[in-house]
This record gives sequence, structure tokens and C-alpha cells, in this order.
Amino acid sequence: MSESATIKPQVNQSLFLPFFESTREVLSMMAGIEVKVGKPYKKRPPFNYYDVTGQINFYGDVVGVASVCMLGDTADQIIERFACTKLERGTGEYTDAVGELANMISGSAKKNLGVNASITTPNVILGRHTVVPSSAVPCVVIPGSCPFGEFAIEVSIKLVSGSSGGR
Amino acid sequence: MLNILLVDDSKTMRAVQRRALETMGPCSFSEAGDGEEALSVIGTAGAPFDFIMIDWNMPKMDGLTLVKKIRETNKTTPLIMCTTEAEKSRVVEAIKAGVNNYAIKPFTPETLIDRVKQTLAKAKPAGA
Ligand SMILES: [Mg+2]
Repeated sequence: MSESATIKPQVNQSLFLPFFESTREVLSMMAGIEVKVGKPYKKRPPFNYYDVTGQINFYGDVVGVASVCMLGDTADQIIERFACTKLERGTGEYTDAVGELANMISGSAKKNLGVNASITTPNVILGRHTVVPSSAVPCVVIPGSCPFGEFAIEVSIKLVSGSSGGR
Repeated sequence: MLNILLVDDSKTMRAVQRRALETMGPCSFSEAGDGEEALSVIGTAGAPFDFIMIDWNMPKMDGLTLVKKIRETNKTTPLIMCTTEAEKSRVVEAIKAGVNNYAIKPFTPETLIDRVKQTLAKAKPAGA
């Protein structure tokens, strides 16, 4: 993968490691999908393309965004398992389901960040796209795979200077 | 027949909750997508709800504000917070605001039903 690069020490591991467990837990409990997560790497251009992305913003002692990024076919099948019914990409129901998955993955990771943070309601991107990270916040890509294909959790959050979090 | 109000900004989540709760027996569901809508559903409901399931993160009015608003006038209807907000401080905050129980997302159907049964058992003492 072209984005591959080792993670520099200044990337705070405690800010992305909680997403490993939350991703596994959410997909297993809410969709009955067993997920494997791979070795995380620092996001670098050229960026991967996705078709379906659910984003949650963080604020408080950390700021940034976490994105659940999928290709269309994989997303369709994950969403079908979660919603227990086939949903058409582009409908409100589909967007809603993507948003709620992203909400649960980020919300569930949040409790293990060891900081006082809040999250926003989700934002969903559909159609072929890349997710361009903010230059001010390092972005770590956590590759995931499941029986329906590969996906990625892109975590781009940082501690707000002056806060004491990040175990 | 259990008369239930589900409040969550995700329609998919409300459907997931419905599917789980239906396995408990006959239920009648009302739904709302945010706190404001929930207040208007509560205001116009014919019969009181046996319990209300409330999400925390929602647009317009969040779940914590909704709980406080409900408790201004109604001290008895069991309120269950069902949310990803799992930090101890959040749970304490919600209990102080007046929730009777707390279910953390993600959940299995069994856990959700368990929380509801616990809540209803406490709300209605045996023999009542
Ligand atoms: Mg919500």
C-alpha cells in the first residue's frame, strides 16, 4: 500500500489503540461480524479511495476526527448485517446506519482514551472520495478486514496542549 | 403490553432496539429522533410509557438535557440511557440527572433485555 510508513514516535499510541478494540467489539456485537485489525501506519499521500465513510469529530481534551472508511461492496454488506435488512446506498436509512456505526466505534473508543472528550453526531460521505487529513493533526490508518472485504479506521486526533490525558 | 418510547437520532439503532425488545413479549413502540421530538411525543401520548430508552448524543436536544426536562415534571417513568458514553463520570452525571439504568452501546440483545428487566423489576415492586 502506498500510504504505508512506520509510525513515528511522536504519534501518541494511546490515542489510536482504543479503536482496535472498539472496532472489533462494535462489529461483532452489533453486526455479528468478526474483524481482524492489521498493523497501523501513518497516513501519507497518495491517499486510498473509499466509497462510504462515517466520521465523528472529537472535542474537549482532544481534537480531531475518526473516520470509518469502506469500499462500496464491503460497506453494503456490513450495513446489511447491522441493519438486518438490505439498505440501498444513497438512502437516508443507509446513511443513518453508517453514521451510527461510526458513532459507536468512536464513542466506545473514547472511554479508553483516558481524557475528558466529547463527540459530535456523525457526518457521512458517499461516492468515490479520499479523506484528506488535517496537516495539524497526525493521522493513523488502522487497516481492518472481515469476510466482506477490507476497510480502514483513520484516526486523526491529538491532545489539546495543556490537557493531561492520554494514558 | 409494554408501552415503550425509543429516543435515538439513529433510526437504525431504534430498529435494532425494537427487534431486541420485541422478544420480551407484546410491545407498543413510539419513537423520537431527538430530545425535542421526544418531549412532544411524551406530551401527546395517550398512556404513560412503561419506560423510555434515551440516547445521549443527539442533535437539537441531547439525552442528558431530555432526562432533566422529563424529571422536572415526571419522577416515576423509568428512564434507561442507552449510549456509547461509557466513562464513569458520564454514568454518574446521568444518574444524578435521574436515569434509572444505563445500557452501553455496543450491546448484545441479551444485555439490553437484561437492563430493561432490571429496570422494570425495580420500578414495580413484587406484588404491586
Ligand atoms: Mg446518537
